[in-house]
Order: sequence, then structure tokens, then C-alpha cells
Amino acid sequence: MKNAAKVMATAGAVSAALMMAASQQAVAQDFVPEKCYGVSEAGKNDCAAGPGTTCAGTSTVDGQGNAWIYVPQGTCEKLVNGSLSETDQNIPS
Amino acid sequence: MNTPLADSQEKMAHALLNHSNEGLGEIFAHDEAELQARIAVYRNNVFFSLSNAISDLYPVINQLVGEEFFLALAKRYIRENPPASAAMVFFGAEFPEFVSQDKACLSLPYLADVARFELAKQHCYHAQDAKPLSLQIMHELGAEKLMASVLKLHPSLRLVDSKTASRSIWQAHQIEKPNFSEIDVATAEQSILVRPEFDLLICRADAALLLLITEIEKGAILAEAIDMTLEKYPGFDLASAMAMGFSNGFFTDIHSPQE
Repeated sequence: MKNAAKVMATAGAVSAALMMAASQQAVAQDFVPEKCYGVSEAGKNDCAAGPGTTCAGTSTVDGQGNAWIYVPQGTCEKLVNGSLSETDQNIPS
Repeated sequence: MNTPLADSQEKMAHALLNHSNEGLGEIFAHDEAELQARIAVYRNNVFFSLSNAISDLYPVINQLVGEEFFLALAKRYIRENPPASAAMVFFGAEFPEFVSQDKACLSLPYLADVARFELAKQHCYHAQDAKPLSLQIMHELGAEKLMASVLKLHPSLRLVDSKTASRSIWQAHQIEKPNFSEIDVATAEQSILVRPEFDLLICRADAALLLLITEIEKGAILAEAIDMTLEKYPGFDLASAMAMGFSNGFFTDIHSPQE
């Protein structure tokens, strides 16, 4: 601890935090995802064993096509600056 | 011919993932055409079911790039990262890193961050249950004793530190008519995910709060963790941040440093 005044200040802030938390539960919570989240998650443990044939609309999955011929086409097109050129991109590591 | 089981399984897995029927003739029917047709069904089912699992785990990535691109991406991923465990809950954990390295995804630098966010959600959701520390207990202890204590984090708590707007992008895909133009993709965003009871909570955080939580996670006394955070981020709103932690069940236990 560097000085007493600072300790008092931070203890005061923690004390205030307790008061804030007590007076309004979920005070700073931004948003809560959909309630039925667990239902779709549970489905993942089921055996989702496809249609059992080689046809039935799964040709894109099984296609031999080279990966890079596909171009992203979803909502990324709508994001402002969503698609950055390869020269000025900042790839998060 | 008697092929040992493990050897057969290895050949089968290799054939399925690599689109090669090499070696399978020794194990299965000798009619090459029939073998081709039957293995194709098997292979299709493997990629179909695993692609579905990846899509379930990363639904926003799927929406961002579109189904066709996503399936091609998932297929490449599955080939390099087949399931390592029979429990599907752990499948797909390497996907964010894979996306960050994938050539076809280079033009979408936020994609890997959104994938990390979705993976954190999965891990948070499936983490061990734990009862959050009650406000009453903390009240009775008082701020000064709290400051001298070590707090234990909720086992479901996950930090997501993104250089891009991962949370905003994810959130925009949860509502019917999102306004994508309000999102600045290049804004760094920090989030804290926690599941104090049944529902997963997503809290907006900042770099300072992430540092504070990281220090607490390392076992620092609260006062020391706060000190370190304020030193690096003098403008840190400690009261609001702690209130968010207290009211959202970030902490499950408290003990004095000697224990």
C-alpha cells in the first residue's frame, strides 16, 4: 500500500460498489442472450448423422471444390469496413 | 485376412478424411465400385454431422460468411482437426485459431475474434455450476475486509479480449433487424461471460476490468489487484466495475490470504 489516503479511497469505492450492487441487481449488465440457449446446445450431443445418402442436399459439404474459390457472402458484406483489404488489415493473433 | 482393429480404424479414418480409399480393399468388400459408393455414404455422414456441430457452435460465423463459404471452411477445419474425444462438447475448440490462419478469411480480420467469443460462450455455458457469493456475506464483511481478502472467481467466468468489435458483431446477429452501420469493426472490445445460475450473462468490460479480474484470478489480494489496475489505468471506474462483478456473480468464495 503506497499511502493511506489511496487505500481509503479504494475501500470507499468497493463499499460504494456493494451498495450499488445491492440496490440494483444486474446493474451494469449489458444484455442477456436468448433464454432457450440451453436447448439448442443440448441438441449437439445427439447423433446428427445426416441423411444417410450421398445426395440429399449436402453436396456443398462433400464437394471437392478448392476452398478459396468461395467468397464470403453473408452479413459480413453489410458491416461497415467489414471487409478490409489485405494490405491494411490487422490480423488479431 | 486378419487386420488388427486399431490398424483398420486408422485406415478407415484416413480414408474418410482424405478422400482416398487406399488400403480399404483389404478390409472391406472386394468390388471396387461398391466400396467407392458405400464409403462415399459414410464419408458424407461424417462431414455432414461434424459440419453441423461446427455450425451449431459458431452460428454467427456461419451468418457472417454465408453458408457456402462456411461449409467449405468447416470442411477444411474438420480434415485438419478431427474430433479428439467422443464428447462433441469439446469439438471445434481450435476453430478460432484455424480461422485466424486461414487464407480465405484474411480479408475478415474480426472473424477469428467473433469465433473466440462464440467458443468462450460454449465453455462458459458448459462450465461447472457454482453458487455466487451472496451480497449479504460481502456486506457483513465490509469493504475493508474484502480489500484484504482473496476472491475466488466463478468457474464459468471467461474473459474475451478482442482487438475488434467481437461482442457488437455477435450481438447484432441476435436480433431481427440489426443496424450494422452502428458497428465500428475496428473498435477493440472486452467482454466478460459468466453463468451464475442457468442463464449466461454477457457483460461489457474494458481493458482495466480485464486486468483486475486477471490479477484476482492469479490469487492477488483484492487491494493489490486494485492497486495494480489503478496504476495502469488511473481513470478506472472501480465502483461501477466492482458493482458489476458483485451483482453478476463473478465471485464464488472469499478467503484471507493466509489460508
